[in-house]
Amino acid sequence: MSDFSDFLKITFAAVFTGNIALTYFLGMCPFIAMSKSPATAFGMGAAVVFVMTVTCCINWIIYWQILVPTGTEHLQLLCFIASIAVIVQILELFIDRVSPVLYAAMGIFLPLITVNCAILGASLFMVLRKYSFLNTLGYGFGSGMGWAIALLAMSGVRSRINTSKLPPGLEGPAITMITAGIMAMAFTGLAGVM
Amino acid sequence: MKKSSGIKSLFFLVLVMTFSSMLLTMVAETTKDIRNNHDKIELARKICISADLKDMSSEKELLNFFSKGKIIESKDFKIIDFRDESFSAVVFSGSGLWDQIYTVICVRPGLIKNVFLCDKLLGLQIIQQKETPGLGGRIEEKWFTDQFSGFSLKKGNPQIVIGRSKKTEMEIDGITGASMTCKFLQESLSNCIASLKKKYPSGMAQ
Amino acid sequence: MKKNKYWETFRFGLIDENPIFKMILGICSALAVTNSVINTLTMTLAVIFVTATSSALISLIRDWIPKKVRMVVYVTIIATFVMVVDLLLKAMFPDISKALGPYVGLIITNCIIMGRAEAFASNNKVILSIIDGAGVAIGYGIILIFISVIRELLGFGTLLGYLIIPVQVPRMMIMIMAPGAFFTLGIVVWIARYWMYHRVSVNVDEVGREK
Repeated sequence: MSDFSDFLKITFAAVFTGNIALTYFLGMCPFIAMSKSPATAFGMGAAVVFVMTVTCCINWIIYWQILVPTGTEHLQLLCFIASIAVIVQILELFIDRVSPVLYAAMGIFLPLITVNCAILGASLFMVLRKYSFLNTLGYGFGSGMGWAIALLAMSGVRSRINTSKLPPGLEGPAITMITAGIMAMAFTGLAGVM
Repeated sequence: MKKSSGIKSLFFLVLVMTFSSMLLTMVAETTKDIRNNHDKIELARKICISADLKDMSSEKELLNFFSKGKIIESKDFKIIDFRDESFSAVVFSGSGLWDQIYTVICVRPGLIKNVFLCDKLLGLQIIQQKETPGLGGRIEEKWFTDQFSGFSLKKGNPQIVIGRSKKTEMEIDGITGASMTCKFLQESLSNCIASLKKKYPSGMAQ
Repeated sequence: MKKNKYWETFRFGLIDENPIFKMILGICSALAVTNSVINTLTMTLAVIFVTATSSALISLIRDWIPKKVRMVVYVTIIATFVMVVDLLLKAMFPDISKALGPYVGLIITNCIIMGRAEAFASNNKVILSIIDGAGVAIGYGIILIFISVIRELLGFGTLLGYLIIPVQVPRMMIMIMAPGAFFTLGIVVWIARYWMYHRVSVNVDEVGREK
């Protein structure tokens, strides 16, 4: 029972209070590049949720079942990067075979994810906080959801900003950063729900 | 022609990977002792502060002191027993507002032959936290952690209370504006004591 | 003449190719570590070291790297240097290493280093590559430090741990927390872009008048 409440707590925290984009600043490059329209944001968000859940679980197995018993923890970064690249590749092939509709929706975003630091960051945080396998599953899914929600919200805000007039120099990344700051403040407020 | 270039690339890749992992292993091995010692010294320092052992100051003394402790790892906590000083240190972690809070408490008399007696809390120290700086981050401050030293656990767990002057001896004065952090700290402390009780039932019943 | 070329490469990396203003790259770590100056300094030094050494090594073996697997080779080399830095930091500055947490490891996915390897080091000489890598990393670092000075000064009232603003002045806690990083970077990018935009238009005017 307490295991399950832990699981829920960690998932909730990963989505809202410990949002990987707005609190830990991970995956900022695609966050700014992909939030131009809600359609791309949705595809990218879905791809991230999917890949983050899978990579976190597999990296947990790699770290706790292979690297720790053999005493080679110092190779973790190399292994994580390699495993993320391989998983993304396999997922791409798999989705292409199984569901062409899904592939059309998020296929083009999959290769981009290999270099998304949010994916690697989630794996590193998972190791650092010594989560159990179940909690890792929740954390991976929650972090992906949190990132996707932030991205979708941002794309909604940006499509409204596009129609308004801004002072010179503020358009593009600068206003996106300031908007993200306001969103981060709003997410901070959700800490009270815990 | 094409096949041989593929084999060549693969060979090159394997060569680079082997070389880099060898280099890493070398660096990791040479710095291993230093890295491990840092963690031990840090933990030993916190234990000494919370158990009020003032004579330990140099890193060598701390390491020497730490090596005397007997470590018992468990799922929820880690007990380091110092029989010479007749107390045990318990390291545990719990979720905080932003990240895990790692805490160490020292209890007397501690673990005696598979029986864990915790009558008196010698002290509490925060090992690592990432709470809001200036609000929840103040749980590290001396005035707050000092309230735990000498706390009698016989009647129950400490209650962190905010906003009114300290009333009963069970209550610890919390930090204004950091009610969540205080709540989380109290929860993880209670959880730790509860799981200690669960693991060593006979000892706690006394 | 020769000295000039080196200086030009450095200056180009430092200002014209500045990763944060120009391309908005690598801001993950720019935001995360800038809540105190000392963390930022360490992070900057780590990035400079990794960029310079990986550029040097990639440039050194550029003729032998098979084209097909070059990306994997770059990632491996960068990851190796990052992990060396991480281990050395853990051994020598455990406190700072703890504060930086996983962000040292995340230097790997910092697009800047990869970008420099692909765009410059893969077809230039060793010394030039080092200078280019260091130039870009220093340009990146200067902005990081600038942001961290603002945040630490307003948030804690200190600089490198020394008290600058008297205790009586209330602190802006929001500056140390996540939103503060976004606001500061947003405003810095705004000013920089405005200045660049302005400068370019003035230059065009001058050229026009001369002709």
